[in-house]
Amino acid sequence: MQAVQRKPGRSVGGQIGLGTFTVLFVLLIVAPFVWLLLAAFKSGKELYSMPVQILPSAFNLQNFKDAFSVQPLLKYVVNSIVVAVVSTVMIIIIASLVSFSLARTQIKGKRLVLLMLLSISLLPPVTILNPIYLMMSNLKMMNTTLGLALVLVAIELPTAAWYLMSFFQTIPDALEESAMIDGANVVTIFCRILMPLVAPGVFTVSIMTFIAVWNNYLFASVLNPSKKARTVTVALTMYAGETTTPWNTIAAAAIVACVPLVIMVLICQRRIVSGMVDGAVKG
Amino acid sequence: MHNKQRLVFGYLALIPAIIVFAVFIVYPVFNTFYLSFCNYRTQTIRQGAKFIGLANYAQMFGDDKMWTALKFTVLFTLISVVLESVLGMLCALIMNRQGKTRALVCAMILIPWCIPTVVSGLMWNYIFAESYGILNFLLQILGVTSQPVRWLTDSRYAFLSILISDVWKTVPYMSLLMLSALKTVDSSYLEAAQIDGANKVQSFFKISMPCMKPIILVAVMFRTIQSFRIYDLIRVLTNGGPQGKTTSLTIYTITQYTTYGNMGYGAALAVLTFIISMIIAVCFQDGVKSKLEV
Amino acid sequence: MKRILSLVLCLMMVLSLAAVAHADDKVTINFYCNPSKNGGVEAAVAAFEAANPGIHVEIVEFSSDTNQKKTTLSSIFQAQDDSADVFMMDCTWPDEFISAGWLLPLDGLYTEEELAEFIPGIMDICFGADGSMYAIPEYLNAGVLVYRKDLLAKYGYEPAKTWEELIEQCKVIQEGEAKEGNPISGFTSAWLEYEGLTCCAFEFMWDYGAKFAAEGKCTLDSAEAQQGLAIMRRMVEEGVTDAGIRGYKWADSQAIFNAGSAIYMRDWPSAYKNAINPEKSSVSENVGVTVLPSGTAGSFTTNGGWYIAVNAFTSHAEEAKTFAKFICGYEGQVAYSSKSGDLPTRPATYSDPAFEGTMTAQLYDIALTTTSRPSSAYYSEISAEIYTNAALVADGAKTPEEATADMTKNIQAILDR
Repeated sequence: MQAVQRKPGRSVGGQIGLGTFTVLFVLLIVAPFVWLLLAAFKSGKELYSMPVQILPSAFNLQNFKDAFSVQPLLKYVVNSIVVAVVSTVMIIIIASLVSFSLARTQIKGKRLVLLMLLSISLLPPVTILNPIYLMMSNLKMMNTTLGLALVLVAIELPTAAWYLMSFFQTIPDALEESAMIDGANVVTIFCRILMPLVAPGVFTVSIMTFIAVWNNYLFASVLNPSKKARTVTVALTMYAGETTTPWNTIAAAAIVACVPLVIMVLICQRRIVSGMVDGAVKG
Repeated sequence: MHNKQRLVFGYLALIPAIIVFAVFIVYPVFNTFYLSFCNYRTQTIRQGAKFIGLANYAQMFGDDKMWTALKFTVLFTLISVVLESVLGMLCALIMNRQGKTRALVCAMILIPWCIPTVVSGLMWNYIFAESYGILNFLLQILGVTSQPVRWLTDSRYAFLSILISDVWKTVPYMSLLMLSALKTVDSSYLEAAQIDGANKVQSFFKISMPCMKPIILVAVMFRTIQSFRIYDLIRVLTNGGPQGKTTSLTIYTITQYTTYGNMGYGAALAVLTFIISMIIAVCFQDGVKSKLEV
Repeated sequence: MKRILSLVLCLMMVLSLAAVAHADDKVTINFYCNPSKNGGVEAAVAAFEAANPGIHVEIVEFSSDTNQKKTTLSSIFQAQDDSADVFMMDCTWPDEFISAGWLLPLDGLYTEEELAEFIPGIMDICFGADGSMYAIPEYLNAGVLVYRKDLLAKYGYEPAKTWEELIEQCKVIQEGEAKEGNPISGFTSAWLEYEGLTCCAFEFMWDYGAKFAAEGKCTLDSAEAQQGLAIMRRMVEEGVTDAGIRGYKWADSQAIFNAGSAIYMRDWPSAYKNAINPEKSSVSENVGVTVLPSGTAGSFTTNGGWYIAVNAFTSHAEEAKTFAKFICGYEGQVAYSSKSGDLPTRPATYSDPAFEGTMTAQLYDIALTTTSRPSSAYYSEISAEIYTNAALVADGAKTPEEATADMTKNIQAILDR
């Protein structure tokens, strides 16, 4: 499906104006991050110098070396990846099933299920922390990536389910009806027709869930306190002491922590933005 | 589509989610509700949770600090959700344009969201710092201000600072959702409209928006609920100060629950948050309701 | 799709296998501690394991956020979990934890003579209402005055002995420097509304003779306490304090001083260490440290120390107690403090060769006179009253009289619980 052709009346000036606006807007959004990036290369003195020193005097990698030597950062990144991948996969599977059921079948008690799902997200996590801790402790699943991943499935499931449900709702009934006339059973419809159609939605929700699980702090810090199972988000708070904060090292570690996320977003956004859906919906 | 097989599948599909809910959530949620009716503090924990009926709730409604926190939270939620939804849609429209640099633009717009809140808070602390923060530096160079602005410690600016950081972090989230919503709009409708002479603005509001409605409603609903529960960002930036003027309901709840060890009262506050969030959800759900009864 | 699923399931199984710790014939105890400072904890633990081959100590670090530490410990104790055997405790927690029954009594661990080997002023908190010992002081932190030697020398001053003197000195120096086109702040510290401000506020109030409580009644509504708060306000009014002081935590205040923008700084000894480090400070060659200025009643400094305690629900009580005693013992403290720079709690250690010529030896006198903040199971709420009111006085929003009256009333309500 080709892009809609630009109307002939649109002036070059208008396009340049829009382009400039876009550039400025994007720069504004990225600016704080660039500042963080610069901080990762500065020494302690330069970080707090007055007047503010914008560029570091040298792009040395000392902060990055410190970030890795003070804490085993790489292991933490791996832990985070494992937790996030396992959680996301499980969440997408469970959420797809639930949202299909809620959006496209005639079951009773939908409202109840929806609100039940929602209730998980409505309490401050700290209040449900203690019972969950007790459970994990009894199951001997403390300090395991799997244990944390399972808990985070429960925490992030509602958002994923609700969003996927709304994506399912955008598919017209006509498609399913024609498939049923052709003799397909419901499982086939679900796997072969509906899932591909909500694929951009699935990718969107996957990114959202991945990032949410990656960035989780409370459960990750309480359930996985030991070094071997710690996630990178928790580790970022380990660099600070009681009275000193080595901001430059933290910035370097933060950059390292963001890299997998940014890569993942880059990969997935193509699937969303490329408009796989165009045309297919019409049938 | 009435079909027995479909119905059975529909019920079966719910099972994994119900298991998750039953294992992880039922007990903790009911526990919190129960505690809200008890006097349960770390200092007297050996005596267990003493049932005191509605005393915590009575205390809560007479608590000035709670009302201050509630007012702040409501105001903040309203402003931030509106800002983030509008800006999110704007970004989504930018990201939707065809062009060679689209992938790059998309990736850059999504960066703020990839940064963990912990880091984001520290980063904004660094930017908003009075003496060595880059924001004051730039403002002075540009001649906008002559005195350093106390972004985080002056009650006039603290609200704004938190708003800026929250919007910065959340706009990518909203824009991604809005973008996927845009993608679900059938382009044949748009083409038809264009042939009939509608301009871009008209076709956006009259055709695209209605198609995207379910997704937008859910996005705004969740964003409202999340905004209502804001905690991490405020904790790192102002910790509820200055003089408690940027304390959100959740910050107050967690202060009571963890810092003061007053878990019974904290639970009551949590239940309050729960009820208000539930009301928000139900209000939004009524908007989605029509689509549910397929 | 099916293949991906089975791959994920395999991954999950592998992970769960990997999660199972392999058995050891040593006893392993977990030590929950603050993030490592230059390997201090590791050094102490290594020394312990060398002396006790049958025990392995697993170091588990907390995040640096005090609230987060408390959340973690709280979850562990409420679950009556044994995953933390020995842990570090901030000096304001013992009362709360003791009343919650979370600490193992350490009776019989120390004799009277052994207890006398610690600095006396910090020992009260270790004992519960029932007279049992529950905590052991591991290291302490005492407030110090860090100053710019070059600036004081330029104007012919010695480091200020009283707060009034400090104000006068700063005004002269600030005026002089401003004339030379080099505006500078007089005094910087951490006066943000949090625990740091409580430490500072107590120091000011104690310096003028205020006492927190006597016989269960809060006695802060006194002229002495008002004087203490008044001097804080005076410093702000007369432009002596840094403009941003009400927004600083310790790290921010240090940043100001290290960039050369302040004459005096009240901070902990680790700040002095940073200030003389050329990699962190632009003024590293011109920094001196001394005792805090005094008020009319002398110079007081708040103890910011940390204590060691044993989890009441531990399954390795004997080993945990042995470790706790060691790490607070002579050898343990020397091993820890020589690397971390924190101050030991045993006077005898200060003359150890490991500390010769270091800042630790210099601070011996200061260490002996630290004063603890009031102990109460409701300390956090009391502290909130203090820092909120101190902040209002510093900002000029309340007079010292109003502040002490409000403070005392609210604190009394808490004490009466």
